[in-house]
Amino acid sequence: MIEAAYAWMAVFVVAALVFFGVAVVVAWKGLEDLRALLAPTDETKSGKQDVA
Amino acid sequence: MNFALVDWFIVGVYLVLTLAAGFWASRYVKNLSGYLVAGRGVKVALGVATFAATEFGTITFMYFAELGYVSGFACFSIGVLAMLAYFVIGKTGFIVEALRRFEVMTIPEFYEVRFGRKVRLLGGVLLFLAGVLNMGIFLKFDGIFLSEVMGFGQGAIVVIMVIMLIIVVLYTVVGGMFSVVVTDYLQFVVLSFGLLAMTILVLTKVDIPLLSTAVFDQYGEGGFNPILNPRYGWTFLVWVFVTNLAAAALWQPGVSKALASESPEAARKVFFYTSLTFAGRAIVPMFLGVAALAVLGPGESPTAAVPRMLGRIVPSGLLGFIVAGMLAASMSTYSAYLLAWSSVGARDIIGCLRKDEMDPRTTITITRWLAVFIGVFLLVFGLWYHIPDTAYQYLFITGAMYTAGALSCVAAGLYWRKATKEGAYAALLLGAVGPLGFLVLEKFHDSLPTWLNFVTDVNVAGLLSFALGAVGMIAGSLFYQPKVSAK
Repeated sequence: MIEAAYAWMAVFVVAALVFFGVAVVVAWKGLEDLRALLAPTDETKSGKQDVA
Repeated sequence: MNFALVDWFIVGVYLVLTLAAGFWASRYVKNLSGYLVAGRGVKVALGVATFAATEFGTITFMYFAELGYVSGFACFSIGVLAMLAYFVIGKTGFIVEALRRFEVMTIPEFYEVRFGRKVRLLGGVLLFLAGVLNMGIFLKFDGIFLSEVMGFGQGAIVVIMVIMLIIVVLYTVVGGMFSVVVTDYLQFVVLSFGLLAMTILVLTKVDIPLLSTAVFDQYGEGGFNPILNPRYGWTFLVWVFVTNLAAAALWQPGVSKALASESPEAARKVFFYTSLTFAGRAIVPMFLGVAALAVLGPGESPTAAVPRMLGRIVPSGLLGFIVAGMLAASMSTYSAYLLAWSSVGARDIIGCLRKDEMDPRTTITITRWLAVFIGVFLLVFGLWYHIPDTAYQYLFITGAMYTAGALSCVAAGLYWRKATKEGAYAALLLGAVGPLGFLVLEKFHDSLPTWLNFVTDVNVAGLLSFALGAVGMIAGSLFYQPKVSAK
C-alpha cells in the first residue's frame, strides 16, 4: 500500500502547490483590484451616504 | 492552556484590524446594489480572493480533516472531484455567466423573470431554509477547533461562538458586500499563510511510511481506494460530483461573488481561477486528518483530532498566527453566508409576500435585521443539534434540499425553451423531498420498515434528490405545455 500512499501524496503536493500559488498571485493582484474598487468618490470623500 | 501572551496579541491585533476594515468599508455603501453586490465592481483577482475565502471556513477545514481521520487517503478523491466540478463551471460559464447577464442579485430573482413571482417565493423559502440549516453547525465546529487548539477544552466553546458571532454580525450588518469583500481579501491572505504554516509544520513532524501504515492498519485497502471504502463507493462519488456542480453554479454565497463581478466574462474567470484552488482546499486539511491518525492513533474524537494535534505540536507565536488564520477563514465564510441568506429572506421571501414594491432603504433594513436573527438562530441551533453521520455529509444533504431542485430549475430555465412554471414547482419540491426525508427519517432509523431504509442512506438520499428534481422539471414542463391555438 506504500505505492498508493505515495500516489496520493503526489496528488496532495500538486494540489497544495496550486492552492498556495494561486493564493500568492491573488493576494498580489487582488490588492490592485481592491484599490480600484475603493477609489475615493465624491460621496466617500465627503462621508455622504444615500442609504446606509 | 496552549496559548501564550504572544498568541493572544496576534489574535487581538487581527480581530481589531478586521473590525476596523469592515466598518471602514461601509462608507462605500450608497445604494442597494452597493450593499448586496458591492456595486458590481469586483475585478477578477479580488473576486477569486473573496470567493475562495468564502468557500474556505474553519468548518470546511474541520469536515475535510475529519474525513481524513475517519477514511484515510481515500477521501482525497473528493477534493479532485470538487475541483473538476468547479473547473467545468469556470471553463464553460454554465449558469453563472448567464445569471450575471440577467443582472439579478439573488438566484430566486431569476425564477421570477423566467417562471413568475410564486416560483420565486417557493425557491426563496427553500434556499433560505437549506442555507440557514446548512450554516447551523458552523459555529459549533469553529468553537471545537478553537477551544481544542487554544487548549481551553469544551467549556469555552459557547464563549468563543458568541464572540465570533458578534464581530461578524456587526461588520456584515453595517457594511454589506463592501465590508464582506474587503474583509474577505484580508482574511484570504491570513488564512492562506496560516494554512501554509500549519502544513509545513506537520510535514516536518510525520513521514509518509508512518502515514501509510496508520491508514492501512485502520482501514485496510479502503483507506486508499474510495470505491472499496464502506463510507464511499460509486454512489457517493457520483453524488459528490453532481452536488459540487450544482453548488458551484447555484449556492448563493458563492454565486453572489459572480453576481458582484464587473462583467459576465469576469464572473466566469472568477470561477475558473477559484476552481484551481478547490483540490487544495479539500486535500490539505484531509492530509492533516491522516497525519492526526498517525500522530494520535485511532480512538480520538474525529472532529477534535486535528485541532488537538495542532495544539500539541505547534509552538507559541505560530499558534496565534494559525488561530488568526482559522478565525479569518470562519469570519469570511460567516459574513458572506449571513449576507446571502438575509438578502434572500428580505428580497425573495418578505419582498414577494408584500403587495407593494419594497424601497431600497427598507430592503437594507430588513436584510440587516434578518442577519441578526440568523446569527441568534445559529447560536441556539449549533448548541443543541446532534449531527447525523459526518459533518461533510450533513452539509451536502442540507445543501441538496435547495440545489437539487434549483439545478433543474435554473438550467432548464436558461437553456430549455419548453420549461414551464409547473415544471419549476415540481423540480423544487421533489428536489427537497430526498434530503428532508433523510433529515427526519434518520432520527427513526430503527423503527422504519426495511424497504424504507434506503432513505436513511445519506448518499442515496442525496443522489435521489437530483434525479427527482430533474424528473419533476421534465415531466411537469411536458405535461403543462401552454396550449397554442391552431391557425
